[in-house]
Amino acid sequence: MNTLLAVIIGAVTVYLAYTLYARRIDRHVIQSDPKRATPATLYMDGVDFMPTNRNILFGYHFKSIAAAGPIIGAIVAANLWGWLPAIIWLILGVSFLGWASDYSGIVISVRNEGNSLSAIAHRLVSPRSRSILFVFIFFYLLLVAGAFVGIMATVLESQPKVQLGVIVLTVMGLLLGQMLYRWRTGLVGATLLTVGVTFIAILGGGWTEEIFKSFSAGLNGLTGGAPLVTYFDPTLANFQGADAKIMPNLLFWALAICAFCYAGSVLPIWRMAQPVVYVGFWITAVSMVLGLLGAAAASFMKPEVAQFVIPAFKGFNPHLGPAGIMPLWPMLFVTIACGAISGWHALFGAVGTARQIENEADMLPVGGGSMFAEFLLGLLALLAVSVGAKGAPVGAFATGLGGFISVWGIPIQYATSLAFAAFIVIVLVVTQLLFRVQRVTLSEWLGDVFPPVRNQHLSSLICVALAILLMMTGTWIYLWQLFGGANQLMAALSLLLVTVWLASVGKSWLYAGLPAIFMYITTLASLLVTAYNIYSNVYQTNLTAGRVIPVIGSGLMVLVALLLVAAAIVIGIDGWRAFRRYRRQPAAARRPAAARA
Amino acid sequence: MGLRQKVQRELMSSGLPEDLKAEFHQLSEWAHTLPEKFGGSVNVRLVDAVSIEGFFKSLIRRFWRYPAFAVEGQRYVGSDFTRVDALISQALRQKENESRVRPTAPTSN
Repeated sequence: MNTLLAVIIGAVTVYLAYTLYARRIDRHVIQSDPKRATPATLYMDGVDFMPTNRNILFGYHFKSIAAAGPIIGAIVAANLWGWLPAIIWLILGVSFLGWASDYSGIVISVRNEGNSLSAIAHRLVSPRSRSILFVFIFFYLLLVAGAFVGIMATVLESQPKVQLGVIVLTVMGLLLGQMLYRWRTGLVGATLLTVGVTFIAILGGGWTEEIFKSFSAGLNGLTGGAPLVTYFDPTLANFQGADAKIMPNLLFWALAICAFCYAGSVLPIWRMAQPVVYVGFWITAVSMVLGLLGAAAASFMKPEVAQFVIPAFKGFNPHLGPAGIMPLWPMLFVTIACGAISGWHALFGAVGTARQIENEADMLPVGGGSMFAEFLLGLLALLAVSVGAKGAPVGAFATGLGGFISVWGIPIQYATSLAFAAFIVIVLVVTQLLFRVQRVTLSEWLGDVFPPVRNQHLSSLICVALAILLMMTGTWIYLWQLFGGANQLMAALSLLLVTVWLASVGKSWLYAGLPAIFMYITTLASLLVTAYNIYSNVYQTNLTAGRVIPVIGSGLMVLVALLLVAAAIVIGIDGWRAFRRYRRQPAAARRPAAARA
Repeated sequence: MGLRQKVQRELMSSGLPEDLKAEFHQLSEWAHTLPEKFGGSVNVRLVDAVSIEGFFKSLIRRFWRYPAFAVEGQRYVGSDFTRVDALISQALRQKENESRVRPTAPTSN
């Protein structure tokens, strides 16, 4: 297998699935009608409801759904089961489930006056499903935050060449905000300065490598070289499991990331979040475009970086830790989330994008099209890790992507630095926004019961502390799979809701119903497997060794997994009852309350 | 107000410093007066300056300050909206003249 063939397979998948399946559903089942008024045109208020050109909306939707998911999922899956199962799931997932979930999330909202999934669930399924979804979202965000902070801290700790670039990105983001909004400098000059300096810092990370190494050594010297926390990591020693240590420098980088996210969460958007995202976008866009084109061209221009070097298939149940299990079904289907199917996309599509759809004919190109674009991002990550098998997962990805970028004549050490930085930037910009949403969620959820959480600083600190606690368990692969389970369960629930709605309006529900059943069963099974793995592999081992923090963190993870399962079962039962009710007698559905009410 | 609206409102409220927020508000109010002044013959397209699209538009049209307006190729940078109204009127007049001058069918003697 080589990268050119994989890119061709990816392109053919997108073409066939979009033209032969997705368009057919759009025309014959949903019957999208360009003449029907959309909520954006009916309720235009300039804030929530705003008719938007399809090309702009595509970019906006894609930017909001594409984060670390398609990258990390593909890397972890390729390392656990090999590249073949990973690419098969990416292709089948996006063709039959992923686009359907993204597209339907928009459709159901557009056809229900712009209501969110929880509001529609409240009306179509049961009143309690709305409250359950609310709790679900908070824990889902917590898992994402814990997984992302852990991954970024590990990369920064082990890659001193990348540290300068991340620090400079932050400084340049703050400077850009000041230049644009306070000094009123022109965008072009400000962009050239801030993005240019950030690129130089990323490529020149080697200049300060020794300084950061000394800094890390100094930090570790604070405890006399003793670890802050020792935990059992079942992924070490070639998945046989071994004790791992959290050293002060890892905690330092985790805290630095959290400080960055805290600032992003409480400072005005214009001051930090928006300009950092803007600078980061250039870094990511340049890396991804050079990487994807490089992957396609490598077979001719630099064949040594185009050949897959990891095994195609490593087995159905790779041994992971002394007591853990990792069966291909259901775990592959939650390990790779966003490149194949993702609940976040449907959630965001329903509450954000749907309220900006100008014309029903735009629902498929925007919703389905963005999902296919994210599939390509997942494919790029899979290719990168498949050709660059050296080192830890993120290291392998950076080596592979660096190889693709080097096809264009950039020296490999610089290209790899750029790939590492692109990865960190993608995750970092999403995490800072995620903490902001999580803070608001917490304050809305518990604000009445415990008023102090309405204070933005306290609620931000609680979110940060919980994320650090999860990170300190050290078992980030399990944390990732727990997040994947929650994310995919969200997809299953949104598809379930779409199925109920299709039944309620007397339309064929199979295109959403069959994926809903598959994802529902698969994600429940995966959450139970993950809970078992964490309990048997991490909780028990650390409990025996008397390690407090890993025990609390892994105990919390088991609890969250079981809570998600319980929530999903309740919604599933209510959804099934509603489905049967509407199948017997499709509702000439009551008109829902307008979303603005 | 739901969670989404809370997040959205917060993002909106902290999206710009106070002076720029007031400026944006004036711009928005002016845009709402356009249908009254010019009927349905004017299409407004708002581009966020701090975006990739904003970057390339600024580069192509050589805008170094904001707000900046482009009306049928004519540029204006500043907050005097009467100047933009004048540009729009001029562009509409020009279009009207062009359509009058242009023959609708070939003529023969």
